[in-house]
Amino acid sequence: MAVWDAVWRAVVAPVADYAFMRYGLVVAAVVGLTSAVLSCLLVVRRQALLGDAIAHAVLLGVAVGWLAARHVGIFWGALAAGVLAGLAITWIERNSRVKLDAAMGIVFTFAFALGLAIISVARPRGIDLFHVLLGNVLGVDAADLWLTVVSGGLVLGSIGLLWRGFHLWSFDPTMARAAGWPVGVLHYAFTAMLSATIVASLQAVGLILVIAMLVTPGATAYLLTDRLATMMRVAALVGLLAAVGGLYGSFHLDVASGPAMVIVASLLFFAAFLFAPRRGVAVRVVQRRRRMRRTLDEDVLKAVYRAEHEDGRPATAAQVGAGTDAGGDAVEEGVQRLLRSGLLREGDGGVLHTTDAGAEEALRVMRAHRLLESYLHDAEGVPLDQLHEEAERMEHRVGGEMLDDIDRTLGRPAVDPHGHPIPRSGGDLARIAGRALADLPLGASGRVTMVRDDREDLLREMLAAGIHPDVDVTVVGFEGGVVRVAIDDREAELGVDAAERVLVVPADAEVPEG
Amino acid sequence: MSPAAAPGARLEVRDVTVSYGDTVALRRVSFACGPGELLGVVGPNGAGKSTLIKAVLGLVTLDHGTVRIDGRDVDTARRDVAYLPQRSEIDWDYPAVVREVVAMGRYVQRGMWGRLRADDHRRVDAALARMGMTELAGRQVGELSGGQQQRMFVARALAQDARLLLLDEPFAAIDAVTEQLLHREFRALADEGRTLVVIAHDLVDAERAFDRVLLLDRRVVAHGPPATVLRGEHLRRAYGALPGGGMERR
Repeated sequence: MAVWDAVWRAVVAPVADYAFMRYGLVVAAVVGLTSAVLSCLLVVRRQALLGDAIAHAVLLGVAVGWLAARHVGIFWGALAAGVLAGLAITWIERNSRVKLDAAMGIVFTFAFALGLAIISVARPRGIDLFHVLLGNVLGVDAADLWLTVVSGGLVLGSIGLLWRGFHLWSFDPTMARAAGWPVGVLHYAFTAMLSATIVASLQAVGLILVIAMLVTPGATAYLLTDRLATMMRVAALVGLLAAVGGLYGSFHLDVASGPAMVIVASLLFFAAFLFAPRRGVAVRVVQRRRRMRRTLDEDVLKAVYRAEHEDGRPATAAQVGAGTDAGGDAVEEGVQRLLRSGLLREGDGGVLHTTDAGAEEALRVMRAHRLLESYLHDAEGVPLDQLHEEAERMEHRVGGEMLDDIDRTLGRPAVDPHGHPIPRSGGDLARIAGRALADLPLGASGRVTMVRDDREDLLREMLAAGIHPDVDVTVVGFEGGVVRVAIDDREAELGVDAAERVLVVPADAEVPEG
Repeated sequence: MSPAAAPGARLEVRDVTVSYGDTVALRRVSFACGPGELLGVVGPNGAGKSTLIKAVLGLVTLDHGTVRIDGRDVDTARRDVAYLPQRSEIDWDYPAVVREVVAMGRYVQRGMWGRLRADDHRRVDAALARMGMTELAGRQVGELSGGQQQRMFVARALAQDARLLLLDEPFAAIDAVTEQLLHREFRALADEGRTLVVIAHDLVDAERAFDRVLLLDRRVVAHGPPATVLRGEHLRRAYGALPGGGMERR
């Protein structure tokens, strides 16, 4: 009940008790809505500064209008000044080498200065400069109210009517002209709508800050949507929230209404800037971190699996860390995460094993990696020694469906270009026959089945020596850590580290396990 | 746009001169191309290629000469003519999805106020399907690759049911494979009888890809089959030197 009372006192009571709050609420809502919808066009057309220019020029119209016809004159004077400023800017731009931004700067400061000068000389009693500049939504009277509602309705109606024109003209102006559409009319209608909205917003936000209502809601919605129509709806909501929220802020905190509304709008923008799905800065940071973490985890899992099943020597966390590019601390964290989620388990002496679920995951990543290597090699012609790095990057991003496509396209290869077995989808890892070249006796010969790609420098050494899968080799000598082999009718040398990573099926015989 | 009309339009440019202030952009340019023809327009920077397209679209004032589309004035033929902008002219962050842009082709037929009907939506879908973009229909335009963006504009021209397509540098900043695919699409459009005028910058491709070539350097240097147009003397006249020699004239 206490909460309800508080809400009543803060939100409903002011409106129920005070006529100026009722007027203010309507004006704020209309202004927030209209300027927000228009702001979308300003934002996508990159004409935010045109809005600012027209807003400042309006002061001249306010001053002259008051001198000419008092209250009634203010509206029409301001409208005329806005439209004329828009025309003057275009005119200067078209007829000199001065560009649009400079033309705007010249015109709006001149009109603003002239307006200030007139006001300071004539000292009109009906114009409170502070209110014109910063808004006084709580000082709205019935006449202002009608003016605002009618001009807001006209602007929204025009946008609805000319919607398709604005859409095409903004996206592809040349096509709009080629279709024979009256882009000149669109341009002037746009300027007139801008002026009318600014004039109607003077009471609520004042002319210095009206630009915020003509940019911020549109920019906020721009971050949240992919279609102009949706963008306008979202912007309308943002504008409405900002205007009404600002009105209450103004009432309760005794702040000028313009700044209050602009602050609310800006807060909404920053919320979208940080948290917009897909485009928000904070969201992207979180996503990137999550992706990096996942990449690391998959790499660790793969390393643990390969150590256990391919090398036959289960590794500790430290050994895994030494084998990856990531730092040891990061790997240790990854190991802990994987232990917690049950993909790894720790054996005696800190040795790591994959669980069933972990093995499945590791095989999935290895399958991705090896299929990608096959694809890059066979279809794209990437050389053997450059495959690994590229596949390492892509393996974490490619989905299962695409992998199945690649698999089918390549004719379901059993091994990758290095001779590593490719795990079947969901299945086990085939064993590649053969033993390490370094372990073969002198004079033995056989066919290379696999070159391990875990060290790029050694892989290069093998390839440079002409050793790759399906080559026949004969061991012809051992000299000080170097294995000499004959390939066809030439000889090549290979360091022991590299020779340990070459798997050969001896020609003579039943195949010993590698 | 009578349904009985041929799928392609005949474009006749006669004696056209266009100037911007004191600078003559096009001088007495005349050429014609007809249904089923794939015309390549080549020439050095500043040769007036884009101005020529604007002249055909009726977007610049002609000092002199006429442009006729099937014998009609440009103003009455606008529905038959599609313009495919250079990709660099478009703000790719613009909030529009692929289908919306393709539907703009129907705007040209229905005008600024006319409603799109079921038939219009069918044509939009068909155009998307033909360009293989049905699955991309809901994508924001900036999320497409360069080749897909170009195909989206082709789909827009198809949705418009355009009989004369004017393409401004469709191959700019596009990789070689995509370029080949686009060439194939353009060929298919010409084969069904549409007329295509394509601004290109690669003379080597021009040799193979176009039926006829218009070599422009503010005037027509040569016009005809690629083999006869893209010859040393013509290129020297247009470019001031043979392209590739690093001496392209400004």
